Amino acid sequence: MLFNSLHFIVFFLVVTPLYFILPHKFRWILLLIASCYFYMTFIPIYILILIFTIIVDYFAGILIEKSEGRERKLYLIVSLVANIGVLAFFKYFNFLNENLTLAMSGIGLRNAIPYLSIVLPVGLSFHTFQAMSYTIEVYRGNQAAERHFGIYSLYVMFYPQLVAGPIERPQNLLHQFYEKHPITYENFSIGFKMILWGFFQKLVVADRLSIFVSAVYQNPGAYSSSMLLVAILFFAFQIYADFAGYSNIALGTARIMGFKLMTNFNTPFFSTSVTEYWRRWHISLNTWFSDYLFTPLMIANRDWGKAAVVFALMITFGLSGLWHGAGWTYIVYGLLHGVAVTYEFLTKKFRKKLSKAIPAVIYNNVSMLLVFTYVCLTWIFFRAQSWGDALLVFKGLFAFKGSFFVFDNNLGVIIYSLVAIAILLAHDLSVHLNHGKSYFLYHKSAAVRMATYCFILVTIVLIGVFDGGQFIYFKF
Amino acid sequence: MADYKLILKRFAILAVTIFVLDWGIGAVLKHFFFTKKNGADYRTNHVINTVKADVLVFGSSKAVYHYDTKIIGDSLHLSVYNAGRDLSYIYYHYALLEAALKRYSPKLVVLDTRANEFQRFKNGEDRDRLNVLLPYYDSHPEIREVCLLRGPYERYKLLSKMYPYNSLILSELVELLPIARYKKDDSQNGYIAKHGQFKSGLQPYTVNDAVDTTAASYYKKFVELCKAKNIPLVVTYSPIYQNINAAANRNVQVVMQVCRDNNVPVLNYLRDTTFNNQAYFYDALHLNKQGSVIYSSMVGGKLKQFLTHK
Repeated sequence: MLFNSLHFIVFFLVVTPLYFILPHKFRWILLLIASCYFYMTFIPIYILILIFTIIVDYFAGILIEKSEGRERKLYLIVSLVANIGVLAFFKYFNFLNENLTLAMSGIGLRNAIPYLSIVLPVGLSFHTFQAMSYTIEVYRGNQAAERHFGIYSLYVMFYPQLVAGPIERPQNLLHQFYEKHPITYENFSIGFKMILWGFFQKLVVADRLSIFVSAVYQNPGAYSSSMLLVAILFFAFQIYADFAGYSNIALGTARIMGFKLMTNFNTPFFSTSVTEYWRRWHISLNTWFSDYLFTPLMIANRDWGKAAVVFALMITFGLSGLWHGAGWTYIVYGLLHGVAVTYEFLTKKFRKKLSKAIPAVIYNNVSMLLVFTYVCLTWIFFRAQSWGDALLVFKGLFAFKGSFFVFDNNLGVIIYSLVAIAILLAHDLSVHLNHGKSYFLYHKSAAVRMATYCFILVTIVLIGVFDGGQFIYFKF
Repeated sequence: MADYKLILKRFAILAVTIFVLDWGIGAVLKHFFFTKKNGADYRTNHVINTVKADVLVFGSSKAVYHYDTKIIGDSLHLSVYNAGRDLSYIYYHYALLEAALKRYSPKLVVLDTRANEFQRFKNGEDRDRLNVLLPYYDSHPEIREVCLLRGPYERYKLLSKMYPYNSLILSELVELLPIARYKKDDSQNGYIAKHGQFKSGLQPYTVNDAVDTTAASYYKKFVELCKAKNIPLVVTYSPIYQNINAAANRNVQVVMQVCRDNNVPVLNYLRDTTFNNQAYFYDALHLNKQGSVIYSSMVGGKLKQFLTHK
């Protein structure tokens, strides 16, 4: 069930009122049943994978809490192996096998391990990471083991964030299932705004831009340099609107029922450094990597000085790239960001001096532009279907081939896309300048807010792409 | 409880406002849509609501650019209208035929067929393109079935008065320009000549193996509708400058079988040797003006023979 489907709207309109009608003690049952149904609308049998990891982690949490020393560590390892094992099998088996074949053929050997023909369970990377954060936090003593099996299951399966995050932490989410959430105007209003803007991001921006982007990336060799440039820029906005749109709908759906999930995006394209960009982009994943990989790695190697940070950064970003997809293009995407953040780390003092020497308005805007350009170029590796295609895009981009203004039949698509991007940027700029709240959606005048709702709804109906397809991050 | 009432009140206000806006904006868009004087939407409207030509040519962009209505009309001594449309598929042709036949009976129908007529489009492009028919959903019950092919929830989306004009707003806005409103349609009864010459050389025309059974069934329905109304039908394959693969050949064979079953003649010029000349093409799939003149003369002659022997 996709958020951008009438199926989901009907589901939402049934589950939400039922949630408020039911007495508090039965609400977790409703949410769990709804979440199971939500997940099973994709590939029903895959719920067994979820059940497996839920059982392992539930008992691991209790056993970790009860035990001490090596035994405690052993239970954590069992939990991590189960989660990473499932992830590795479904997501990375063929990738590893392919590379093994290549390596063996290099020394004249034949790899006899067959390739698997399996469909990746929806959102596997998200819920396994969320499950791992639970056992790690119990191990660290920051979270008490959850005794209620239903509530723990709900922590992993809560439908708004089950298939594409935000990747929650137990400290933020688990206790909320025990709290009574009365129906409040504030929650409704905030949730509605988030859902509305999320739909706009998905239907008007992401799916509209994907028409042109998909056409170009399907056959990059056939397009002029100007078209490739437009596709590269459009993809940055497409993936942002797609993922942030999903996150907003997830947060809004949960918020209406009184649940406060983690913010996942904070106007990332207004970042003045790549480091800042990663604090604003997919925040729940990046804080996960920071808490459970980067920081422990850095602490473990603190004797190395600056080299420890560089090492931790490159490992973290490389694995973050691999988290996104089983392919070298994803790893390169991650490493390129690692290189940029490392550069910023090593030149911190120099850049600070530079920022004082140049007027802030120039320094900040030029930095913003440079960061955006760099991010756009790294997205090429993320979006291209293969390593060869990514290089073809780079080659075509810098070959300056074809006329600059040759858009043929794409003019209409491009105009719609530019209108969509303009509205997105206007909204984000207002959020950026208005302390994290949209100037229009949260305006003090009810008339302005109403006009904004109407504008968004009318724009969705008139230029939104319906049945445009699933969210990009569902495949991760 | 106070919050509950406030939520309901605010949502009621929003719902009423949206309802009024939907009707108002929908009515404005409808007015501009149906008073267009040129372009593809105008021609679709003409075929659905007013055309009375003796011969109707259906098809995609290949039909638009290949069938010179004047040359064919002169050969047959009949009036001809080219009802082809860029990026249209069999569902669109069938809907247009149904709407036109509801008003009158042409003397001949020509259906230009693509070599990948039954190809399954993974992205649903063929059904998605039916959006150009949505403005007729309310007024033309005969095309509703085709409109609903767009998706299982289409009938609910069509409760909105603005939705039929989704993605058409740009052309609607262009229509507001005085230059657009008074410009006459630049096609010649639906035919548009392409100027320029193809230079890229012979390339393979690849069709994937998956056959869309819904497309095949609508093709059959198109043929059977003509048969039921006793309207002579000729199926044509106009030339392309590409080598077709085996899957495309299988597509052609399915069409041949449907036509044989219904005694419909097929004129296959797909790789006709007359057109083994790049100078006749605008691009790999479309003839230029020079090519379309030669092709229309050839087809006109064949259609004349067919009508004479009928």
